[in-house]
Amino acid sequence: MKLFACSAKQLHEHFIKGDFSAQQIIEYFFQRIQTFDPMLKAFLCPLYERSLKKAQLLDQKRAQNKPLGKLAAIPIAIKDNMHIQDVITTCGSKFLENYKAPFSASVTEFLEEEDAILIGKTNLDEFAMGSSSEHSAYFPSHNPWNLECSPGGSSSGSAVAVAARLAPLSLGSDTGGSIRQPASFCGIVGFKPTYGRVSRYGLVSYGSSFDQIGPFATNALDIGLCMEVIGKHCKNDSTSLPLPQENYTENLYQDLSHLTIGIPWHFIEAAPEKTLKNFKESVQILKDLNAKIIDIDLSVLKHSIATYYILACAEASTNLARFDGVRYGLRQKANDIDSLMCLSRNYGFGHEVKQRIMLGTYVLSSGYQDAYYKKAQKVRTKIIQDFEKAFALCDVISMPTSPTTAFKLQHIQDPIEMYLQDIFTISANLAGLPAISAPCGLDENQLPYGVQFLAPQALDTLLVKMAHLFETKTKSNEFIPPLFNKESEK
Amino acid sequence: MAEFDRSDLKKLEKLAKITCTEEEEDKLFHNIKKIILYVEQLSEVNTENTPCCNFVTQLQISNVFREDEVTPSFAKEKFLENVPDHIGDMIRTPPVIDQ
Repeated sequence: MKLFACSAKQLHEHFIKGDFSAQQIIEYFFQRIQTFDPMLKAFLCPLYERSLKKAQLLDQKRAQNKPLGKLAAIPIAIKDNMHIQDVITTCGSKFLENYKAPFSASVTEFLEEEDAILIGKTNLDEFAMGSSSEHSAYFPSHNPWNLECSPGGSSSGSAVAVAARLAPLSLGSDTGGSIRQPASFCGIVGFKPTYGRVSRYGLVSYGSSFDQIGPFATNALDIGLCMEVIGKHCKNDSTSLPLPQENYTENLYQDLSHLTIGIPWHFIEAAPEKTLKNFKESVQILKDLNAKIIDIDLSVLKHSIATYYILACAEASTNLARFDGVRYGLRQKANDIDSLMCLSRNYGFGHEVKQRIMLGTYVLSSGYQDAYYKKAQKVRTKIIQDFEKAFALCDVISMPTSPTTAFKLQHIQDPIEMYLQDIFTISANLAGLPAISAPCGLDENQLPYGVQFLAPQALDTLLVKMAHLFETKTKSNEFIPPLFNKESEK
Repeated sequence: MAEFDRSDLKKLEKLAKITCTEEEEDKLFHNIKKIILYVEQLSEVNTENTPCCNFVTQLQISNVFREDEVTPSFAKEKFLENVPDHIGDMIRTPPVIDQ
């Protein structure tokens, strides 16, 4: 039996039925990590001993017939900007190389309450700022479909771990596309929930009005399973929505005849021809599922990158002001407090982080705030209003996830060219909308495409169920990168 | 808008409390100038009578309060584990106030 090809749900069922012990499952996946991760570099910190202890306790629990959580024995990888108590959280930065989390994030607590096993912390662009993993202070990660290519970012390692079947589930965070774009590049499902659906308590903040934690999985129902656990109100996050927990995996859709799908053709026309061709194939699948397709106007979205980078960098400049070398993190030697802060921050932060902090500082500074920050706030309102007008005409909006398939590492050097990678994902963060990326075939180089579905706020379950139905046509859950579609050798 | 120049970068380093080397400054200057030019496209968007977006979700736009109850926090030792330099409970730093 190829355990690596099992879904999270199947693994859980194998454990519940007694086919495998939790210890066997964990050791199996750690064997895969040991064999394959050196070429992928998905993990910053595998948590072997901690996971083994949890697995052994879980096996005892089952032997004693105690109730088992709905994620029991499922190995889950966690992006290294979310806290697990007493485990290092680096945020992919030198600044926090030795920072031990004093508390667990709500999401990691929720997962462990349901007996999930958190097997390691994964690589990311530093402080979640990037779209390729190349801004990690440690090393870039590699795309399992082509090791010379980027897996996308910033949740790079979490996407790689699931795509290469080193874990059936992982968590990432999405501020401008950082779950959906790597999901698209790696051929897996990635979901950004409605803003406020998942608690940000214990997630190191980048852009507080944009950040959302969400799952990666090989299939949509596993996304739903994870969301049923992490998608709940949290009293420690004042932006957490007071919505009830929802069911994502029952009452599944048989077809899409009840849905109208809006496509902003004018906006996505600028994408490369190959991407548009693939996208049109995904639209045909929606038509085959009896969805109604209409054209909608979202031309304001051409300003979404500019709007995002002003606002997110402004928020980042404030959020990263806490890293001053005084109370925690890297501290450089200095003779006065000001130099201590300036030198620690220069040494601890990488180039991209410094760039975004300075940009954010600029747009908030006296004399520029009206022209940049307040202007961007108003354009953000316009974007939200235009989405509302569009959703009066349709139930779901569809676009490609990314303008291209995975690019080669070090290929993109121009900052604007890199930022434009997020042109299709960023608007969901600006408007707080839920959005999912589902795999949609491969290009001529065997690199995955992704298609994106967006819904009005709070309609998270609609997207997961839609992605599930879409998957029954594409069979994308069966696509495993050839290099990793095999057992690891002992 | 006045063009972004080197003195602006120096001001930003001071405000953001990040001291860069000359080589870093070159790359930062080049990139930031490019990005500022790019984001200036927003001046084309008509936002007359459009309010600033203060709440991204309309599903909850009220302050979230709780009762003023003392609840357990973390032990001091937990926080001190990450402090680079401390004497007892006190964090030690170079002088803050000029002599």
